[in-house]
Amino acid sequence: MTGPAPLRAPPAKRSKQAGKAATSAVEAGRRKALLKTGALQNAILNSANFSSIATDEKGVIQLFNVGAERMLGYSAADVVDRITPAEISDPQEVIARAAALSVELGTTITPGFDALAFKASRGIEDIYELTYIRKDGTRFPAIVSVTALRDDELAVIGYLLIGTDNSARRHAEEKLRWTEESFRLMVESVSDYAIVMLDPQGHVVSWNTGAQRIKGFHTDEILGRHFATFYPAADVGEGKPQRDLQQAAVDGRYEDEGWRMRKDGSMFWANIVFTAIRDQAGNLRGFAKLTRDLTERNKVEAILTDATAAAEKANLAKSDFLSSMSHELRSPLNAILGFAQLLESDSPPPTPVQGESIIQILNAGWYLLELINEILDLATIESGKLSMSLEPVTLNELLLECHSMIEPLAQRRGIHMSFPRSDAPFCVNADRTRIKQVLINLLSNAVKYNRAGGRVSVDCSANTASGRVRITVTDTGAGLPPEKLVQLFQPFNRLGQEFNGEEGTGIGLVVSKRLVELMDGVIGVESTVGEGSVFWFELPSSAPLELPAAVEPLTAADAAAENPEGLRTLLYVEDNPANLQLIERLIGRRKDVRLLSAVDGNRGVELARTCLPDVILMDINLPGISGIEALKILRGDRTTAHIPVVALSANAMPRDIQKGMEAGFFRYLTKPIKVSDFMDALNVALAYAEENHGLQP
Amino acid sequence: MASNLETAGPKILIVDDQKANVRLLEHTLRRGGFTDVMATTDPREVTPLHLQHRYDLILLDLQMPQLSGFEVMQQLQEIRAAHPVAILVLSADSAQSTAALKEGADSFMGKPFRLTDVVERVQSMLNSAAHKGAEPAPLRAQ
Repeated sequence: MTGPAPLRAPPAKRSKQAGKAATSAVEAGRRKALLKTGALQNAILNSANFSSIATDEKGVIQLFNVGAERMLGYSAADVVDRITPAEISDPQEVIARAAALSVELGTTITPGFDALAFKASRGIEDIYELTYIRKDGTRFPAIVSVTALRDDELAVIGYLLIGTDNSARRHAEEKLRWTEESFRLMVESVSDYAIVMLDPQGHVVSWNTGAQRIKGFHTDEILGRHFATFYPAADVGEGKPQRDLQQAAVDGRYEDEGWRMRKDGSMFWANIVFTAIRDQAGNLRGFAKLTRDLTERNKVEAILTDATAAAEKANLAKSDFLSSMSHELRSPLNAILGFAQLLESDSPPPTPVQGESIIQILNAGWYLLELINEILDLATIESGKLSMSLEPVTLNELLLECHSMIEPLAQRRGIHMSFPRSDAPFCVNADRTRIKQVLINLLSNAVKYNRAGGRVSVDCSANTASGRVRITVTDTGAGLPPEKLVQLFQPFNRLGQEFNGEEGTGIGLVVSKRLVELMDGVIGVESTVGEGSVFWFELPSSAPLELPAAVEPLTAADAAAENPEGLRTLLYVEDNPANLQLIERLIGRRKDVRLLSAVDGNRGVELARTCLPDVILMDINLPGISGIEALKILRGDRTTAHIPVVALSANAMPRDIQKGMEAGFFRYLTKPIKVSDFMDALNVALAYAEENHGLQP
Repeated sequence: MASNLETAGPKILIVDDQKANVRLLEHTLRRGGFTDVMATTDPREVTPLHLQHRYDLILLDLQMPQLSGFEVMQQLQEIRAAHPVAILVLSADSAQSTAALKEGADSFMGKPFRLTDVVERVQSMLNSAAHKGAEPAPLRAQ
């Protein structure tokens, strides 16, 4: 090889040369610098991450470092003094580069090493991308920086080509391009939203399918036009488009809702979001504008709102209608029933035929009244206005009461009834009046839809798994096929019974179901055609009320409260025998108090008027008039107004208690009864009655 | 107009704008043994009639066109201290009946009613009104 000495200079040799010069202290600094330079060059040359290829002025490789060996797969010996870098580059690229440079520099550059080094030879800094080909024929993209090496006279003595493997960057770039492309395609294909890019002045620079659909402009019609085109003329006149952009530029984002205009001049109600787009330096590059056409959505929302309002209104109207209808029907019915009753008991009495007709009128009338009441009942339940008072109820007594109520009907029909023996005490947590209503309904159905001479049996059992008590009513009627069973609990569905001349409203079971569910229970039926049906319901079981075992000695306080003048009277208005029994036991301890009781509000009021008790103890949820209504009657009556009335109720919600106190109860005690609280309240009420005694007429 | 159905015993006034109801109650009470029963279909006459006849009990309808039962009770309330009278409200609307108790009614019955129930209720109200009139005689068992 001709030309300058190879540039490959082992570091050790350089050190040795520096070592020779070390004898002079003057040269120490220079040697140090040289050492440093050598170390630096050494580091660069031996870097495995850069390929460093040095050539002579003709391009023949003189130096091929470790990085080059590693990247290209050649050893230095393979290439040094043998080939030029052009021979390890993609030949097509070299040709293309030669052609491009020829045009650029206005001179003919032959494909070959010249194409790679020409610019550098002219002192122009040159960095370019090209594809290197490895020894094994595989390729990789590289970025190559070319520098001319010159001697002291500035004559070119060779070239240094430093290359880096560009695969990773290329890969990243491709990925980015792919992402950008997919994103662009995605944006373009969105048809529900108009996605439009604006330049900083507000000119449209991109347009998607949604924009075309919503606004009617085709891409080539709108690109470059100002976005004020989409605003109604009045808004444009006020400068709104510029204001909107300004707002977005200041805040980064601006959302607006209002009328916008389509290509054909028609308007649509739109939601628009502007987002300012800035580069890394914070310079405004434009805006992304997202537009939604809300016209459709608004229509749907309006329809839904109207429909909901209409449904609520209709529901209210239904409740009001049912309630007022039932009152309106009662007045004429009152006359019908009233005069029929008068005729029935007239003197001279009606003839047998007339009597027959009168009975028909009365039966139909009372049936109609029952129907009206049940409709009103159902309407009350469905409007959520029904109040429930859940407390421990002993089923034995309740069943006895139901038995005596239904027995006359059963006897008329020749139906034999059997009830469970009373030795198994079942207790449920429920509203006493409502269980009775359910049970009477099931029993009267069982009697009415039975066969002649049939049987009805009632049973109770504990369902330990669910913690409930099950009450079953079994009849020996015709039974129901499965398809009819499912219709049973639907209002007014009498399953064809309306043609059998049997009275009934078809509401009873619906009401029963609702009531049982309100008491946390379940109701159901099993039936076998030809054998009969079993209606059952389950209610949460409860521990029976604990009764104090024996009469205990009076406490000092109780003794002090005793009235030396004689016996005091306590009236207890309560429909639940279990509660009554408990109070009886408690009062049994008090030698100074006697207990009277009434099972409903009206009787309670009557008894209060005739017996004038010292204190009244009042349940709230009573059959007929409620405890609160009864209290009002007592308050309104001059003779009973002074009697302290203590409420005793299972309604223990603060709201209930407040309502009770507002109604004018002396005290409000909640069930289950706490003996000490009860005794305290009783003593206070007795003392109050004593003090006020003298004030009474 | 008021019609007087004569003789001694407790004095009762029936107030209802429906003639049918008035007739029905008149017959019922007469058969129940009450002889001094008057009636009116015009609620505006109630107060003047009471001042004139001093009734023991008034059977009062609530929904009447000229004057509601509530307004009648308000008028009565003003003279009731001097001229006591028991008021039995008869109404098809249970919510209104309850409200009537607050406005001075002593008791109420729903419509339609059983005639025997009306007679019983009137009887018991007159009994307790008689107690009221009597000197304090609180029942105290010894």
